[in-house]
Amino acid sequence: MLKQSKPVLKTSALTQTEALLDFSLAEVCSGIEMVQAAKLTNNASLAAGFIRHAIDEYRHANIFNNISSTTSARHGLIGLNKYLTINAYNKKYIDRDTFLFEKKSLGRFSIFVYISEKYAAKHFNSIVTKDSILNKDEEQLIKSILSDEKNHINHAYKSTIKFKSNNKLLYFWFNLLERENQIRRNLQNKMGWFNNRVTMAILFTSMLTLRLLNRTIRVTFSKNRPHLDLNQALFQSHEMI
Amino acid sequence: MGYSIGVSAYFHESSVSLFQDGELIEFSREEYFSRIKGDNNFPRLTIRYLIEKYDILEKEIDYVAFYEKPLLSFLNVTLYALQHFPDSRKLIYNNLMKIRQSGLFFSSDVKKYLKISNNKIIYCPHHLSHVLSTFPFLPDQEPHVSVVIDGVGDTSSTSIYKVDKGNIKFLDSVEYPFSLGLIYSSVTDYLGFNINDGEYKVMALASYGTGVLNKKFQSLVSKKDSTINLKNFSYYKSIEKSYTDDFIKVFGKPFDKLTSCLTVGSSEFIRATEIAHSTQEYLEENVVNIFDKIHETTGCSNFSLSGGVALNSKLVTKIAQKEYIDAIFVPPNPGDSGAAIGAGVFGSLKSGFKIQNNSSPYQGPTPDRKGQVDVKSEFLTFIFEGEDAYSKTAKLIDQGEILGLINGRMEVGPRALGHRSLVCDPRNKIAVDKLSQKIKNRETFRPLAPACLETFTDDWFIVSDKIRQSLHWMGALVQPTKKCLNEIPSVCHVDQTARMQIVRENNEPFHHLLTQFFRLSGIPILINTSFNCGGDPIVCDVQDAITSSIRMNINYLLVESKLFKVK
Repeated sequence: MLKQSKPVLKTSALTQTEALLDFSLAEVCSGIEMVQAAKLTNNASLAAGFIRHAIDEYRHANIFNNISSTTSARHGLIGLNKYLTINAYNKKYIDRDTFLFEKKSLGRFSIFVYISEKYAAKHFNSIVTKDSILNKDEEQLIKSILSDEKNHINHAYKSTIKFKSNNKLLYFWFNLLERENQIRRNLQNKMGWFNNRVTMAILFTSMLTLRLLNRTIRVTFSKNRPHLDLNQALFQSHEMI
Repeated sequence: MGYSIGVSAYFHESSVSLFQDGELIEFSREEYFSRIKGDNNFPRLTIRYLIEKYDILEKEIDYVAFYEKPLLSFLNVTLYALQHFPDSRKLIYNNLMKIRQSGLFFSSDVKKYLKISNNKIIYCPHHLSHVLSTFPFLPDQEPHVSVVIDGVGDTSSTSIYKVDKGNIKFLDSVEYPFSLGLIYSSVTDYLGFNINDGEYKVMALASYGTGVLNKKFQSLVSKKDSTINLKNFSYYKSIEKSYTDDFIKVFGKPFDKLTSCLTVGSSEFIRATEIAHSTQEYLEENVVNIFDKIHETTGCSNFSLSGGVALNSKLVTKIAQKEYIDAIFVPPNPGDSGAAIGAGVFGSLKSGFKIQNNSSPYQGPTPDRKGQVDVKSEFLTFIFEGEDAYSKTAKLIDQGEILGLINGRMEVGPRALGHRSLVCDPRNKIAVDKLSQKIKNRETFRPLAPACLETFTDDWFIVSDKIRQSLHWMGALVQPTKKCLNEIPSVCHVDQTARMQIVRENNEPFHHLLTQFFRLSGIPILINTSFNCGGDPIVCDVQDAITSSIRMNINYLLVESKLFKVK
């Protein structure tokens, strides 16, 4: 898992199941990043490695999804849903403007994968330890994911060592940058709740004002707008309304 | 030389069409490149691909056309929601928070990736984009009435236009929030499927129903004046739930998205089928009424149908049964992603080009990408190529194998038509079930579709000439003949219909494979479904095909007339 999902802070069945669903999305997104890296690299064996990594990530996502369905049924949770991949943008698991491999060099990408996978392993551990809602079979499945993640960490580690031997200074610089990024993302996760509430309060006040003006705005902009024939539409084609 | 680019983005899956001198030369969805199912982000990867593939200079681009009037669209939905404030606060909050990812910023997004001036960026009314999306595929330009029905576009949910010699005249509309498309989507949501993704599952479920809830649904949803009773739905004021507690009081608790498992025959399954049946019936009745009224007022008997609702092939077949209809044409991509084609037509017309019709439904990317490394040798073992590859593939299918096909350019529409398909022998029930349940992980109630050689179509299926054209891309349903029912019942749904694809001779790789299979088995038909893992977009290039094959345990791939075994 390359993307940082929220850690499991509370231990209710709902929170844990939500975390499993979140892990699933994060795994799919990592799979997508790996697929993109395979498309962008000009080294065939590296591309094959990325594809194998992607297949692992997609498999993990399925495991997390399946487990979340069973825990949800077992604990009578309702109203949850699997994350559609399209949520990747909103949750910032994938950047709207660029994939990781588009903006990071191979060396920096390896360092990023190494740091992220280590963090992910810690996350997965958190769900199988304290007050886990998982049964023995499910715990085994999570442990199998952990073992895959260890392999990914090893692969990424080898790659970073190779990079380090070629360019020590750059290695330390990238390492510093990626760790700083990791801390920043962590903070953003924690601040997200507070930011949302503040924004919501501001918007609520603005909406209340708009509500009072609604009738006027609606009449002005929207109501009784003529529907356009083709020729009229071609004539007014630069207008957004 | 003049290029026009049509773009659909930010709401449904983003897509781009490219026209050169009035001819559609390429169409792709962003999800094919990003591998994010339903990707509605600005289609930067597709635009980059087109610019590189055709070596387009920015000065050669006449227009970049967007598929709707974004300000009108934004204001329409947001202002209506404001009337229901504070109930609608989350919807409005969501619209405002995502304003940067909306059509209002289309111009600045375009300019991030293309250095073009503002006067080259134009906007086509949404439903007009749908009407225009039929143009490149219409075999001839007979005068007809074009009906557009979807969730909402700009301000309307249904629009009717008269099309005559390139002139398009607006006739009538139904305005948001009254929307047949959104009612159908609300029930999709209620039945535990995802909106904009699960509507075809509701259509499949509907065939199992008996109609016991039809009257109840009708009386709940319709007011006395035949308009929609909005108090049962909340799609216009909520992003979390599109139906109200009143709806739940009548139809029972909603189906859970994560845990619901509709096993054929279970009591929950029967409940779901009856609700789906009543919804489908409601849709069909109302749309047929619209067509009746159009015929009464215009006397027209030639129609085209587009908008997301036109993907409901059961509905299309129902409309075609009306006696006054001579022909009803559904384009290969009638939904919002196909509206990018309409926007491209709009740009071409603005440049003064005549639109070339009768385009192929295969206008997407090819399997091999410039600059992408070849990983075939890492994952695949080469077996045969050319004629030998096809005869061996037919033999493998005959022996019960399920194969992945990745040949030529991708399909324009959402349905795989043999260029990015998984195929198997329709006689082999084990293979059909394995493909549906194990490989594609589909619900047990959903049927798989047959693809049939054109020459033999009428021996195996009862095909009405009114819809024949749209069957080249599975736009409608047909009934099987007795021979078909006896020999290959697996191609039919529970209501004895099939969403069949007619495979023409010019559809070369797929036609050739079907011919080889026919020579071997005497059956000119293959089961055909899209080549993708559940939750993924259809595979685009060889790397995607390899990744998906391994994930789905597919053993053989036919890639551009070369047969490979997956290692």
